[in-house]
Amino acid sequence: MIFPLLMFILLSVSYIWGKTSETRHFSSLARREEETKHHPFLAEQLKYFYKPVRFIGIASSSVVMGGGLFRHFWAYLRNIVGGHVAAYESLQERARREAILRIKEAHPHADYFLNAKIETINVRWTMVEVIVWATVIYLEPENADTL
Amino acid sequence: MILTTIENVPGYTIIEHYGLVVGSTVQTKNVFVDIMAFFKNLIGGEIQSYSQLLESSREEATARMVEQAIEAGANAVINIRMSTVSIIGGAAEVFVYGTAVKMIKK
Repeated sequence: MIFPLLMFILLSVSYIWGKTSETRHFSSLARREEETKHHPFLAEQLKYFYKPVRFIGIASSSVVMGGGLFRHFWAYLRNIVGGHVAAYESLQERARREAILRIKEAHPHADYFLNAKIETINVRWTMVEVIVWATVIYLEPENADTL
Repeated sequence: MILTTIENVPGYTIIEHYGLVVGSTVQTKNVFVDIMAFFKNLIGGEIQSYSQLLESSREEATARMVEQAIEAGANAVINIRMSTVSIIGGAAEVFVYGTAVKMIKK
């Protein structure tokens, strides 16, 4: 009797906590994406720029996220009948968007992020890690002597 | 040392290739952090201790790759790729590799 009750409490706490933190995280992502939308984050390579390149380097970031007990329980049930496991899709999406934002926020004055790569792995248990890396490019400012 | 994920650096020409350079590191946190991560995983959200671990692992792997490139005589590493693999519970390998080259300004 104690075990089902304990599971029910854990699942309830996990659901309420997970739902609240996910909603908060999505609204935070939307706000920060709006703030950094002017930084082109591209999966392609550009060979020519309209101004000389001042600095070129590599930028990377990673996020490890745990899904929570309720999400795993729900995914387990979903796996029985098959189909989209939306609970995990949103977890992966949050981790990916967060990792991209961290790169952008670490280089707020960068002009381009080129040839961006995104990789997702399972670190441990049901935690996912998203790793993002890209070439960061700073162009010469408008009033630079080199122009 | 120029590090990029692209094949050509604007304003530079590649004059010599030194081949593949790699850097890797396997790191783990202590058992207390693992226990905390386990509980955090139950309720969900970011596991910051693991994020920091992988962050420092990546920096170290990159530094090892750069060391190898410097030894080869390169001044840039292009087309850099990163990879992470979970080896055993709590330990992850971070692997960084790229092509070491010598570049000069056009």
